[in-house]
Amino acid sequence: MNDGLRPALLAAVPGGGALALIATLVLWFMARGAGGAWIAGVFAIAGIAIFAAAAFLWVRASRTETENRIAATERDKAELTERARALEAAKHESDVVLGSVRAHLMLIDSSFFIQSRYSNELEEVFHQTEVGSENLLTVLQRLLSDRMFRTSRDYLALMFDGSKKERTVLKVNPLEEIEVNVKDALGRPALRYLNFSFRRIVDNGHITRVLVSVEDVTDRTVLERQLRDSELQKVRQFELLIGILHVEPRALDGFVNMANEQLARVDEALKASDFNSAAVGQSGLLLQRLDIVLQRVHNIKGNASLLRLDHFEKIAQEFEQKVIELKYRGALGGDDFLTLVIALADFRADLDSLQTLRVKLAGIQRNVEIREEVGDDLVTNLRDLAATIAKKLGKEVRVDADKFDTRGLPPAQRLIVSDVLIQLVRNSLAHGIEMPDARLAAKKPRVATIDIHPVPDQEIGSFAFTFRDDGRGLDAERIKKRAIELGIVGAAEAQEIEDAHVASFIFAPGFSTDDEASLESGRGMGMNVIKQRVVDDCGGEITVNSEIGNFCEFAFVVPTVAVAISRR
Amino acid sequence: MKLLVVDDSDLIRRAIRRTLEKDNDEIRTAGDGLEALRVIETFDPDLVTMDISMPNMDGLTCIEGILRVRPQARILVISALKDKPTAVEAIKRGAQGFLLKPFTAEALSAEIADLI
Repeated sequence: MNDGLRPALLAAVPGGGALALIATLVLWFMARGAGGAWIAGVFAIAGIAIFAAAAFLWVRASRTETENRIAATERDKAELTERARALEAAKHESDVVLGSVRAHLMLIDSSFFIQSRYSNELEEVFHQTEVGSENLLTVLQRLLSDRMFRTSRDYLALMFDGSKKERTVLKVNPLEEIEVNVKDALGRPALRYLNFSFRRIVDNGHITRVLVSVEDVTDRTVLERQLRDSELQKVRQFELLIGILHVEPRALDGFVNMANEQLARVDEALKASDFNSAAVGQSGLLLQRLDIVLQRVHNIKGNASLLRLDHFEKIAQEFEQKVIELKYRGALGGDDFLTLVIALADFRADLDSLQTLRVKLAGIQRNVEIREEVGDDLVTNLRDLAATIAKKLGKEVRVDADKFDTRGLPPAQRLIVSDVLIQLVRNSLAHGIEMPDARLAAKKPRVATIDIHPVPDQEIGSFAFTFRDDGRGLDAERIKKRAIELGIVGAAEAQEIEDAHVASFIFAPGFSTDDEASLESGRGMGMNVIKQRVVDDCGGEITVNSEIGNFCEFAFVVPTVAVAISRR
Repeated sequence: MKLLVVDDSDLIRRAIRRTLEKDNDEIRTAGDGLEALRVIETFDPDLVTMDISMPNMDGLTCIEGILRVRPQARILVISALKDKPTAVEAIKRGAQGFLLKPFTAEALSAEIADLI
């Protein structure tokens, strides 16, 4: 029962009794005045009776009322306890949910008021306290630009507009990764990125509330942007690198120096004060300055184009275009000055990148040179070749060529020497050098030696070297036999030839002492090819010296200048 | 079903027509908002695909014009713009769907199936 009604009723019953008593007394006096005592008596009795009845009723009513009140209170208490328990449970539940989620949640009603329960981090995200019971629009207005605020207002209205499909509305969410201006802990303005997402809550077919989740995505967004920028930077650097690979290092240095010099002049010419004075009518001076800039940038463009540095030609061209545009524009101001200063700074940055790349490239080139100083690549390659063939044949060999160096030779001669030595290594391992066991049996070191030595003190314009292995040497009898078989020489004639001259047979076309051609020694073309390259093609000399069972040595003289051919 | 395709790009108009002609009884096209309004004087489309940036009359204005004459028409905005305020405005003015260019035939069909 209502608290307000209870005293009114309780007051009404005794009030009614009192009124009845007063009315009776009034009637009794009136009746007595009229002379009828018995009438007055009747009135008095009736009045007392009414009063008594009223009093009785009052007592009863008030007792019933008290009982009712007690019962109601009991009921209310139980009801309240029950409700409190339910609320407690609900609160606990939502506390757990709201307190633990990473996204910051809130519910807004159809007037966009944020309901008092919201997750803890919401205040942090919005950089303000007491978000509850505020209007989301008020919060947004503080964070967003005017245009985005107006759009957000329309958007929230669409969220509550049941005639619009939620899917469609969600698609055009304007508050994804939105840039907001907040104040940091020290009250300084800071730029943050917030991500809002929305979800309708529908009750009986009506959109009663919208669940809003807000996330501070600044770190992610900034990282993404940095990544994108650095990707772009990488692409640009790569293009720059590709663009300079074809340019001679010295020419590149020259370009960088020239461009820096020209940009310094541009810098001198670009004075903010000129642009300011231009605003008050001294544009003549400014135009002169622009002409200087134009000329300098044009110089850079010309040089870039000469060296086919496409990137720099392009950016110089763009710079030039900006200057030309300003030249033909009527009034110039501080912003125009900024345009040129930024263009200049960008150009410098690219030039710095070029310089950095140039230095890195120089480092690579230096490393290559250092490696070359360790020795002749040809020697290294010959050692590798000898080791590979030896392993395949089950032989063991060591190449001694420490003093040998072909790096001073002209490329053509170097190639000849290289070809000759490769063929000789193959031949030595195939025919000259014995198997380790055979060497041990012959009281020779197990590991054979190939010796490649330069012969110093040659006349200018020639390169001389010896190739020697400590294998079985040339077998004059075998060579003669083979030469006869091949028809290089007649049997009778062969008997006449001294052993010292037999060696010349091995240079004949098609000569090979091995019955079967092998990959290592080729098809007997080896020595013939060597003779062709050294003697026939460039007028060199070959001498053979051999001792059967002990060694075989070839000595070469290779002319290094073309005139040497005339010696043939 | 009757369809009106409003886009200033002939390429896009043909692409949309090709994708949708098998499921539609009649397809009309318009190259800008004004032309679209002329078409709907005699043509009552169930569905309109609407570009936003167009000469003469832009899509936003055209949406309102069409809905005034043909309030039953459903409007699907197909636009390349990444400008969210314009997209919100289009929905606010009565467009029921939004599809971002470039789109695939499947995305277009799915979007339309969702609208009708």
